[in-house]
Amino acid sequence: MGAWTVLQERQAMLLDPAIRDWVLIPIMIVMVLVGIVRHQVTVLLNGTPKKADLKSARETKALQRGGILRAHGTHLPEHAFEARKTFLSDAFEKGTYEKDPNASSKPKGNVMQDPAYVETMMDGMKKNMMNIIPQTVIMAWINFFFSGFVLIKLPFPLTIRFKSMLQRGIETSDMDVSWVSSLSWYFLNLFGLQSVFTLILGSGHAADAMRDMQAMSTMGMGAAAGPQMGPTGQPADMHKIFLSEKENLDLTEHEWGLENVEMRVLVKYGKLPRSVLVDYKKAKSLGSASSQSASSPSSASAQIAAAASSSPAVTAGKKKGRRQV
Amino acid sequence: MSGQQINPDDALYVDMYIAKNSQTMTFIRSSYSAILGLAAGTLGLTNWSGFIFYFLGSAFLSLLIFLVKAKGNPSPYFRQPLDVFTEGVLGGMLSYILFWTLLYGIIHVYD
Amino acid sequence: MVNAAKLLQDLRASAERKPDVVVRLGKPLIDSGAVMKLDADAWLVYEQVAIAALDVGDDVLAHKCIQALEAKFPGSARVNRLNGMKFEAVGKLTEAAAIYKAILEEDETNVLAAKRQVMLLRAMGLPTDAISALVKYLDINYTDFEGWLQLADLYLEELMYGQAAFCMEEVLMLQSQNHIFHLKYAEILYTQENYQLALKQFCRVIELCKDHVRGLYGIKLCTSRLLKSAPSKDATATSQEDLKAIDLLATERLIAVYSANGAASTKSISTKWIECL
Repeated sequence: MGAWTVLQERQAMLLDPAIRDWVLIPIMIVMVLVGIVRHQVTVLLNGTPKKADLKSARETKALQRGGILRAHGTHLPEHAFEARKTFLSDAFEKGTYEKDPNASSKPKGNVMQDPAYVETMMDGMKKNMMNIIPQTVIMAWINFFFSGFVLIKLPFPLTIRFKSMLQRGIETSDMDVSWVSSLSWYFLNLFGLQSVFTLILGSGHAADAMRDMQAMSTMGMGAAAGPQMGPTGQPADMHKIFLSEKENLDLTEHEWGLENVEMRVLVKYGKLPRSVLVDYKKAKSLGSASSQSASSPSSASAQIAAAASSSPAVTAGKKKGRRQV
Repeated sequence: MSGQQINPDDALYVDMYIAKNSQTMTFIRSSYSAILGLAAGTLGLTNWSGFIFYFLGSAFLSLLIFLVKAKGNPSPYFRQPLDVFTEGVLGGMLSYILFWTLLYGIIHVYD
Repeated sequence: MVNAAKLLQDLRASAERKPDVVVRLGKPLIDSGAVMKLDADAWLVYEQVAIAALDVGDDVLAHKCIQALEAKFPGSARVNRLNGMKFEAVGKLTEAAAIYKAILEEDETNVLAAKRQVMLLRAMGLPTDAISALVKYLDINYTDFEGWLQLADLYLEELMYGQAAFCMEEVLMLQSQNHIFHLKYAEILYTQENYQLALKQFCRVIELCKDHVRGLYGIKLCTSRLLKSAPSKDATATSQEDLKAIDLLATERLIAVYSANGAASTKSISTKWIECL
């Protein structure tokens, strides 16, 4: 290993094997064990899912309904689409589907007095605490006992910028940056052990370091993001959400996916050349759609005779299986 | 646009199986990158050679999955056929670094 | 053993109703106790086999499964629902109704119990009550396409085609890729004598599922009606040339399908039928 000897010549430093036996490996083991325990505790805490009430379920489903109509309305004929659009935008405007139709007119009280809100918040806090406490304790433990230890050498070089981060507590000016302190080893473990947890606990485990980091960074705001919470942590005004959905609906124009289905079928069976569809699309996009599109299918079917003789094989839709690896 | 929005291929994927497949991929990649890390640490690879080793190793794994498990045609198993090569590669990197550092440290830095 | 578990899992995922297969696969698993090797999946298998056993009338097996589930999850609404279904299977409808009501009182959002309640009303021979209960259910659980499908069936039984068509439209929005649903919608439209729209829907069936015979027959029926009637002045209607082309295509495909894999008799019958139109 040529690279290795060069490095060694540059900075040979011997570490006491006791550090390896009593610091390096114990930190790793403790972190694995804590991760497992935390996973089990989280499973315990999540034992009873909160019951949703009927009205809020109806509220969210109604909002979905608007979205589905906008996304999949193309499968409906014109009259069906328009009827639904009118009905939904009317209902959204009036607030028929809202949990509490009069909520917007009432003056907003203190959110802290709303028991549902407080409960959601407590729930989030509890989960956040579960994430934060173990990591804080481990960090404190490492800081208290092992601060100032040089634990290990990274096998790759880093820029000097990392020095203050990786060698915190070791006040040397000329030690190579790749030598790292105990706290850095902790962070390396925090992220690197992800896969180990995936292996032991299965995926979707609760010992997720990324979530920890998020929990720590949102801790200051104190608000848990629930489904009903706006970005500010206040319960969102459902009426406003419904109104914006109504606006979206009103802006949606109906495009019927079956308008030229006969032509598509003819193309599929090779009775018409594929180019007919492209022509049709062009004709449609040329504006004045109604007159253009009405004339184009008839001209298209006139080409049948020509196409039937020299039709290129039309590829059937590729069949995709539903198998597992 | 009319008609082109209707894509008959969309519904041919069962979400549950797609999720299961990507879970399996994550599982394979996690174990594999940990083992790769152990190997790299034992060999005493440093600097770029370590990272190149990782990417070569992952590419080899992807190729194996592509050829052996997907039989050269990943599209029935993944929405994006290229997922076979990319899924979980960067996620496995962190654990690769951890085990690489650990073994490298134990074998080549101590004693 | 592993294969049986895998097959059962596939059946669960696809939500196919194959009670005979499930019981045949599941019964040895449960009787031998091998099911417990599946860990968490074991209880799903128990539930699946219990429902399948009720379906095929194997009450003993169903009872065994439900008891095992009750021992594992005492007081669970999901298991309690199975008890209700057991009562339904043996015809004790009022007892079943009481169980479902109790579940819903405990948790009003319990979807499974609400669904069973609707079906119970249907089984009791009260279609109008079933319809109103189902409408109420769908008002809340809008995205349940099976509910809409069920409602369409109920309306069809009452010969309320307009309402049934509405339900099928909802199903189409939620599950737009299933050609069977398109077929059902097309047939309702045909019954309503909306041949123009029905033709388009039948075409969609053929587009989604190549050589779907029922779809081809539907196209034949629609085109023959439309060709006989006066040409429509409506600009969006299918032009006469296209109608003829589609008609020709359907005839050709029908004959091709039958000559490919059918006895000569079925082929001649279908040919005769086509000629009659």
